[in-house]
Amino acid sequence: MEQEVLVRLTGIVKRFGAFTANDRIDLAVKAGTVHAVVGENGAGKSTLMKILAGEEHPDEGTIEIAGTTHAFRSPRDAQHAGIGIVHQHFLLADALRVWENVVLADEPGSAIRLDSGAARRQVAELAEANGFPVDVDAVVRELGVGGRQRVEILKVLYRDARIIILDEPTAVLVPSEAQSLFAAMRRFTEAGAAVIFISHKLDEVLDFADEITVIRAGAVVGFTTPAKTSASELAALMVKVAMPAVEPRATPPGTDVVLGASHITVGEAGEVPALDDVSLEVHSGEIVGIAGVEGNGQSELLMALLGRARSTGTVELGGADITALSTEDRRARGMAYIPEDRHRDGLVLSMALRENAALGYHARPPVKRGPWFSRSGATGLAKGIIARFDVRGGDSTTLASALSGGNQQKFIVGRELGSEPRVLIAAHPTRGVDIGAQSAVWSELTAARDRGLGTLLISADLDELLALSDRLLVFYRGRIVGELDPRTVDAPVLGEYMTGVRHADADADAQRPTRVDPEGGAA
Amino acid sequence: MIRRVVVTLAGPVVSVLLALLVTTLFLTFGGYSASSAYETMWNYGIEPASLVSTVNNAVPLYLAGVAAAFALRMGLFNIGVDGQYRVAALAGAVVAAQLPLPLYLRLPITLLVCCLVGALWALVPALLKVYRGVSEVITSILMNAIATTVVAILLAHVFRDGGGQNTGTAIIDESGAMPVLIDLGIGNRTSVSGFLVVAIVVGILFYLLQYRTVFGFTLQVAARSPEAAESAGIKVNRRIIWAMLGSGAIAGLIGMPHVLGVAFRFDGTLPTDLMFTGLAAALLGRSHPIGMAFGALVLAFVERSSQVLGLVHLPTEVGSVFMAVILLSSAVGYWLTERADQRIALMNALRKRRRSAGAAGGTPPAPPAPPSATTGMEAAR
Repeated sequence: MEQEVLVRLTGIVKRFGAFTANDRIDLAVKAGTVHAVVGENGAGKSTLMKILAGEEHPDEGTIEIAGTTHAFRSPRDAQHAGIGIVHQHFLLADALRVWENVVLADEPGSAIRLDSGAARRQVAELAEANGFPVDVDAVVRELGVGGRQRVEILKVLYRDARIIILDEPTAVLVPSEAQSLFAAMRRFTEAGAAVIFISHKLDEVLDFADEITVIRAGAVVGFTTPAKTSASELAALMVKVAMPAVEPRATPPGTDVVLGASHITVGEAGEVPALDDVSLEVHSGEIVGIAGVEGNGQSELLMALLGRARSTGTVELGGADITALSTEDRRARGMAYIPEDRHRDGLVLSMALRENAALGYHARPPVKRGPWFSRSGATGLAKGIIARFDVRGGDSTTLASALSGGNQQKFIVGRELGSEPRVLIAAHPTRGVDIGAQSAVWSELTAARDRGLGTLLISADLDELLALSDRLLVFYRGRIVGELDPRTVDAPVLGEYMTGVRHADADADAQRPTRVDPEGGAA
Repeated sequence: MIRRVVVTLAGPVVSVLLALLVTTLFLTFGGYSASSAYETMWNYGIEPASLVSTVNNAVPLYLAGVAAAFALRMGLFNIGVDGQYRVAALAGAVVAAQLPLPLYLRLPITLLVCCLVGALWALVPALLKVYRGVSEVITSILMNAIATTVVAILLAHVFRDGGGQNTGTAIIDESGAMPVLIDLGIGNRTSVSGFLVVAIVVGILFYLLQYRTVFGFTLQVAARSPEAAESAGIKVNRRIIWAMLGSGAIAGLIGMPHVLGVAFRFDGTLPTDLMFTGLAAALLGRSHPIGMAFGALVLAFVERSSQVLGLVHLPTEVGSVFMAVILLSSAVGYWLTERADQRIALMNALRKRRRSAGAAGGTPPAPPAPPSATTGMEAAR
């Protein structure tokens, strides 16, 4: 295969104020190859990709596409040069159909007439040619994550992209979906395109990339191929910190139930409930993992346990019925909570860390002193969290928005564990944080577990679930479809449970045929 | 620390200067001499009688500003302040005139009744917002219109004193009126009303409640991130109700300096649109208890001193123009100073970086970096 260089970035520098996101980065991507860009959070990968896609303008450096130098003024310019980007967070119009999303802003037909017949046909052919099983007439709102990602990729292909950038494409996919994505990537490269893909998951990178560029702190620190390197070597290049490892636990979990939920159902009357008659128990000193593709009832479970969602069924904390209690009372009784989305309900970004340290703990000492808000008490909390959890980038007076995502997450974990809770409800505790922070969070979670904390762990990261959980419950369509032992289960089996291919009842009924649903939790 | 003070003060100063600039243009294009107009205003404004009047007039503006700010800090726009204080003033006038108690009991009870009535009037929009999701802006405006009618009916048929031409409530005698705080004794109306003390107390209570209590903290969280508030166990709906009640209670006092210190009854002379000037004071003072006092004084000073312009054949509208412009310029002024502040912080950070690049651990305790863009950049490293 001819290996001409399709993309050549030379000496790219991008500064945001006093911070240099990209420091003289050189990158060459050959046609017909999959080029992985790996690095920690905040290493500057996404910035670099945004520059290539015309969304950011470099302060210095040149972009060459197939030998010609380009200076993109807008994403449109980059599209014309054959560059397409699939963002980590999808940019789709939920209310429109698949084909409408794909052709949006580049519709066939004249300025006043949309040739919908042609558009539909073109998109269908495109999907067919690339082996994407997508119903072009489906409304995007009804698609699962994998389906949405395929629509995003179709958008890029529709614009004849020869250079396809995928920003952490597998973060939201179950293993089988990821496999089909990689197969599709391979087809693009066989057709002469170049695929640039950004990932944290080193095993994927080693399996599917042809070439690997490692970025650390805004600069290129390594260029290699999978044949010449290993996961541990890459990780060392990325962070200079060993891969997080969790030691097998020394003490068995306790026997008393600290968190009990029985027959919890969440949903509007007359609709399919989002959470359907779920019962579970968490013992002291135990981590119970919840696996499942996102949108299968995990969020509803969180809200019900926290007392924010209207639900039926009963919730017990430390043996006492807390079903009727408010969120405030539940938290006062020792329920800690790490939210799914730290920006939505984990932090108040426009407040200082001092105030954020008090969030959820404002109704008890040291923050509350009589009716007064003790600034010194809150400052003490914030300082304690910052010191113990190695939160970098500010002191107690720094605004939460000024911290990087990983440090924000460490701050939240520190706040919730610092109160010595009895029960921790943790959702994606290491989402979007780098290996260093992940390792720190994991060791805090296991240390708290050894002190007797009962943890309900919801995560999209299977490695995390397998590493930390003592028991694993799998959610599918609002129900628990299986209870697995994380020490013995293997990833493909877990994936089958998560996608509804297999469930506990079927196992019991000895291989009763089950419905295959490639869309995961689409409904 | 010093920089923070300078930045805080620069905002309102820049706003006032901008407003002066526009007013100057207005005068100059009108063919008047701006400098002589300002000179006349200044000379008249600093007369003792004018200063006393400024202070007295600033009190209701300040109360209106605090009332608006109380809701604003929870992210609510209580535009029903006008209606709340009119209904409350009527109730207050009746209580002050009728209650058979000595002054030291009657006055506090009168003020409490005003707070209560104002709060009740503000409760209606709060409940509608919480239970029906109706915007408090709409409902509180509508409550103003209802207040006008209710007050007219009550005044005409229930509380009117005597018959014939009389259009007010019963006269409030000395045992119900607000005592004078200081009397300069240099002619007519040179006494500072005791309401100055009320305003100061309200300002202090506002500060303590909003800035120093857990309650104030929960209001702030609920205003900035309702989701984070709910997950932290703060009930946003209850915060909405409390914020509107507090705002209404303070609003209930706005009309009382007039009722208990000028008219000595409730009648048609009660100013009906103190809210907008009060909002200007709140904007100028950035909802801060001391800043709003400054804003109220500036606005009252301009209002008073522009009255003299008619005597020297200059347009008295100068005052209104100034006040209208300051509403806009306070937004622009703060934006300008904040930008300047960020620039300075950025320069400092760059300089510090360059210096520390050479010597390790060279810079001694640097001034705490403000929570501006630069800290974000450094944190991201």
